Amino acid sequence: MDLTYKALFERNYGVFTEDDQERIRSAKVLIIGDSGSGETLALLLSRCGVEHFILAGQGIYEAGDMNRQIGCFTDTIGENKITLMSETILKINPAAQVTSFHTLPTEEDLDQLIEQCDVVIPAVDDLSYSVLIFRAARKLEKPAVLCLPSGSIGWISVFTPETPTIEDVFGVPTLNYNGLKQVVHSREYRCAQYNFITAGDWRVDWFWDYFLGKRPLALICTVEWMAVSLAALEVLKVITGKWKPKLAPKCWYIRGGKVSSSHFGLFIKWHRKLGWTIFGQGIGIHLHKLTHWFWGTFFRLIRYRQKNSESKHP
Amino acid sequence: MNILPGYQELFLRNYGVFTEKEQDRIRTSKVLIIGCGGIGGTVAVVLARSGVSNFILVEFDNYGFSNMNRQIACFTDTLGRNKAEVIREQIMKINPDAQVEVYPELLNHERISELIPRVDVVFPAADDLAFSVIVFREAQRLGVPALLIFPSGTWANVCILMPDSPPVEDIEGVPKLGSYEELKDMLAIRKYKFGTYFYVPFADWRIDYYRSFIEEDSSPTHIAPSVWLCSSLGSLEVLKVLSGKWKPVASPRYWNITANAIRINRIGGLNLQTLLVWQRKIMWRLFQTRLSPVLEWAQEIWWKLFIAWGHFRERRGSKP
Repeated sequence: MDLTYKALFERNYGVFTEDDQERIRSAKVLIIGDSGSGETLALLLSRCGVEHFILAGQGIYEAGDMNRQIGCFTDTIGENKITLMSETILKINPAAQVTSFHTLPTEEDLDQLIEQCDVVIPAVDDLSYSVLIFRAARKLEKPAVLCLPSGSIGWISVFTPETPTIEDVFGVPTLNYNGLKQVVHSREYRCAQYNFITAGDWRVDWFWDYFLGKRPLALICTVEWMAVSLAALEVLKVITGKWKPKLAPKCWYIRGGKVSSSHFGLFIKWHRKLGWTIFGQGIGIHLHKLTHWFWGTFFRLIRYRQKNSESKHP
Repeated sequence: MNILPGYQELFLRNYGVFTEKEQDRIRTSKVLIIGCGGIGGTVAVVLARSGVSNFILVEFDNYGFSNMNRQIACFTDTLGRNKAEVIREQIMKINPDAQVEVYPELLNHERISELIPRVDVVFPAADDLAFSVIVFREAQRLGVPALLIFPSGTWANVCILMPDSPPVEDIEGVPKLGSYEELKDMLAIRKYKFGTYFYVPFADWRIDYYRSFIEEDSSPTHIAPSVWLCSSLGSLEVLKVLSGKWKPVASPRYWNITANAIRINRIGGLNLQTLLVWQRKIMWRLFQTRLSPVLEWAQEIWWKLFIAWGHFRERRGSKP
């Protein structure tokens, strides 16, 4: 059997020159994550011809992952995601070299891992942890690719030392990990994700349960895989230099069943920043009753609107 | 003995976006996919993961080395196996309650027309453009929505063809010839293949590869991210049709995807594809007249200039 690199990736050479493809082959990609999009991205990149992977993450396949995760099958439920992915990559390209870690790296290990690679892809569910990865990548001057699908909304963009930071584009306060984690898990912050409903077409009932911490993020396969494909394209742009990447604040934006080349929204960014300045610290914390009342009314209104539109389209 | 999780558990996260009613419509729908290669196979898997439970898959081909760079179920241990069979195995491992009919052979148009009325969406994903065009026509005649995905390099067109939509010929500027054989012969002739010159500026084909595509009939080039992108977008369009949530992008509107932009175009709108379509239509007419030999001679000159321009463009682009 002729499983040489050229035979496997023959069709790539119509777009990429030998030099480009050689760059793809020798690039080292670091994917840190447990959210599922990281695994799909790893497989997609190995089909592009990337040969060096560092995969770090924890988690096993669960039944609920079936609706979107590429390695989740009835006979792999309960298996370790990273182990399974390393095996699958070798079934695409037997010459690939996969280094895998079965836990999320600590802040110190992160720097060491990032230093070894050419592109970083944070694919964790935990926003506070992914902010940490973006900060480390920025410090070490490595490009980092954001791939963030949620419900039917998604953002894909590339962050380098020259672009605005991730905190900047999303209006997240600049705190240390524990501080951020507290903020992100607070109900007040979840309220500030109201764009999941307005832009992401989440059902209000689901969002309400998510707000109460009873339900996970809503995710659908089509949007997640669209986001992953765009992220893979951005990784190839960064590695080969053939096209100009979508550098932040530009981004690919998926919403309401549509996808376009866009910018990160300013409204929600300033809304969140203002909210944080007023209610986030000191005396503002005592005003939370007021915000709860506001959001309660807001969600009742949207719920009413969604029920109305459902009865109109039976 | 472990009990397999049920539908509601497997597709739990879908219910954050789709209502029970919408998800039920998705579950009970049936999709016919003709060709399970790069786009066909990926759409099948994405739809299965979205909760579609009934499929008819048609594919005569087996997995080979050159499929590895983009086809979803091509692995070292599936090489040489029929693509539709492998995709069926994947679907059954995603949703054990799924019903998948497989035709591991080349079906002619009559056989396919018999299958079309049994399904909710048809997806002609064969390599053979002429073959797909006829299936699109049949789907429209029989009143079944069809998914159109045409990928090439980093470029792609995606849309839904509703029964009353303008036909595929209007989107791509293919002449409206009666039979499959006529259409196939026409598309294979070199002077008509020149109508694909946009592969170089928009689909990012390398000029030398494009030259071998025209002159030596090499296979079209595809890269995984672009193929998967248009497949997921196409699957989303199918879900729109099946669930009733969101309005599908249906002809005369269509998605135009390149490496740097994704836009919704309209047939006859102000865009480069309209120019291309008109050019193809006019050239087709002109080539039928007595001017044909002169035009062919002019085309050879144009071809030389185009290659030279392509080389110049690549050299300029490769400078840092």
